Amino acid sequence: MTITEERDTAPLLTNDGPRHRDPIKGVPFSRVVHVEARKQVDTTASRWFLIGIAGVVALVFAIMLFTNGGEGTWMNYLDGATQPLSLLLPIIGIMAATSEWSQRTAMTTFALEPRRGRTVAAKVISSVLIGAVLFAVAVALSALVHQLAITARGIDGDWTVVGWSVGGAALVLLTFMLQGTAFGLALLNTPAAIVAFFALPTAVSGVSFLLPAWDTFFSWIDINRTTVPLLMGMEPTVDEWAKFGVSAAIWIALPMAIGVWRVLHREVK
Amino acid sequence: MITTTNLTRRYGDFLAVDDVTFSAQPGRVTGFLGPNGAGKSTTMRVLAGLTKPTSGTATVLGQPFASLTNPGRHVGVLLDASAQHAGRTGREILALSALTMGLDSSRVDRMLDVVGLTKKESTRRVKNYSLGMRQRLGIAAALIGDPEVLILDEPANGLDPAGIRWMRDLLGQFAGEGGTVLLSSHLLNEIERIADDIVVIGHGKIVAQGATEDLLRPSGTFVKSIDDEKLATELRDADIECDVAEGGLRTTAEPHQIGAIAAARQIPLVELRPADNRGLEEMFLTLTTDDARVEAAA
Repeated sequence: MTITEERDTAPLLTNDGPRHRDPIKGVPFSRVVHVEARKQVDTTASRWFLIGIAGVVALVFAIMLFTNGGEGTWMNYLDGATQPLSLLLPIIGIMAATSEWSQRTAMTTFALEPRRGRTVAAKVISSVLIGAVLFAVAVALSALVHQLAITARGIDGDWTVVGWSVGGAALVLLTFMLQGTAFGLALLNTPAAIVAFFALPTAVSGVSFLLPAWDTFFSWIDINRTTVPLLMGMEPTVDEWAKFGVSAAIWIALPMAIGVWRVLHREVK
Repeated sequence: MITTTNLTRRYGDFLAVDDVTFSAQPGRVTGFLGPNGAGKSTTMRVLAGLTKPTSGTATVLGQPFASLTNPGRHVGVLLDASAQHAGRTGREILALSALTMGLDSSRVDRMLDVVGLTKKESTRRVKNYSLGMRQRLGIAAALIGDPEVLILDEPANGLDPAGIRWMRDLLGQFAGEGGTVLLSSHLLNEIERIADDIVVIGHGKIVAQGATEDLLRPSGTFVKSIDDEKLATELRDADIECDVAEGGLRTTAEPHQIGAIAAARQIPLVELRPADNRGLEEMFLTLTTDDARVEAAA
């Protein structure tokens, strides 16, 4: 739809703008983070995406409530919510990095903050913050649904907090959120980054099945495998931590380094 | 104040911007005129710190753009009105800019008023905006930080004639308050109506620059007589160059000189007047047709 009617053409500029009142101060980093976080949730696409995530989590809870008599501990319910979150949330991180280029908003973003490294850092931090907020919501919601199961389904509640269940799930969520942001930065193209984010680690897992002789090698680089011990509800061993660290370096640090270099050097058109 | 010095930007073998030196002064609207692909946008992107120059310098308010503290408060930039997230509302786009610059959110409503976007329009997603509305939103975003300098790439694109007049008034007022405006266009008649100074660029090089009235000032004389052939001979004898044009003669001399010669030789005149200045327009037309030929051959 286009608007063609004549508008009020009287200019209204006068000397009452902020320049004539306030001294010009720099943009603090916290404000850049605030802006980047807001940009991740203020578009039509991101709104619907968050609604979609809420729908999936609600579906998982409904299934847990209505099958098997609603049996399960609070931690089981939390696990039910964090699994779809760790699958879907990284897309928010991907889009934070790619939409600047696909929607060409980088022209505005970098005209207001020419130090591009700050914007990139703010995007990484805001992705982590959004992940943290949604994880906290998942913790609260799973408690609510667990209480509902106790009240409505008459199960024996189990409110035991397993430190490694919560911590491990949070760490896995953080890992995939950072991996998504890193892939978005490295590829700067939404469909390519989403496909690569899901397909590449899966392909590595697939290849490792075909090459049993290389199993030790893949046990260090297959991030789908190295994150499993974190979700077992107990503290990972030193070996498991080492493997997780190496795979995280490959899947997060490497694409992140490529991505930061690309964003800092790319011409904004 | 905007200054470029020997600015050059090369893409492989292609020189997009070739040794460009010019300045845009405070209190004046400077028009950056050139056909599509002449290097206007590249120059403006370099000014806004979005493209690195191959060599030379570009400064705004005496500094490279990247060194400005809170640049949105110094320089309003609109390089492409369509470079906005289609799924964001116009109001949200302004609110994000205001937030980044640390401005009161009342500035958003103020700017919507200034550019004539209604409250209702501001809550619609940008994908539903016409190009004219996007230009108005882009102007609002450029003005929201109350900057001293505006850098606008083809801001009149998509505006109707009333919109162009509005923009001329707005930019005139901005410059009248001491602001510096650099705006580009590929249309001569648009630029000559808005700009106080004109910089003409073609194939990456500056081909003319100066005050609009100087560049467009009539020079030479058009004359028509009973016997143009005889008059032409007499003029050449007096060392005045002349060409046959539009059913008469066009000369480089002033009307009174021509009149004196015609009177002395008793050649009755039919018409005698200052010639239209075709210089800028013809130069611009040559630039444009050169490009059209290249495009046709490609």
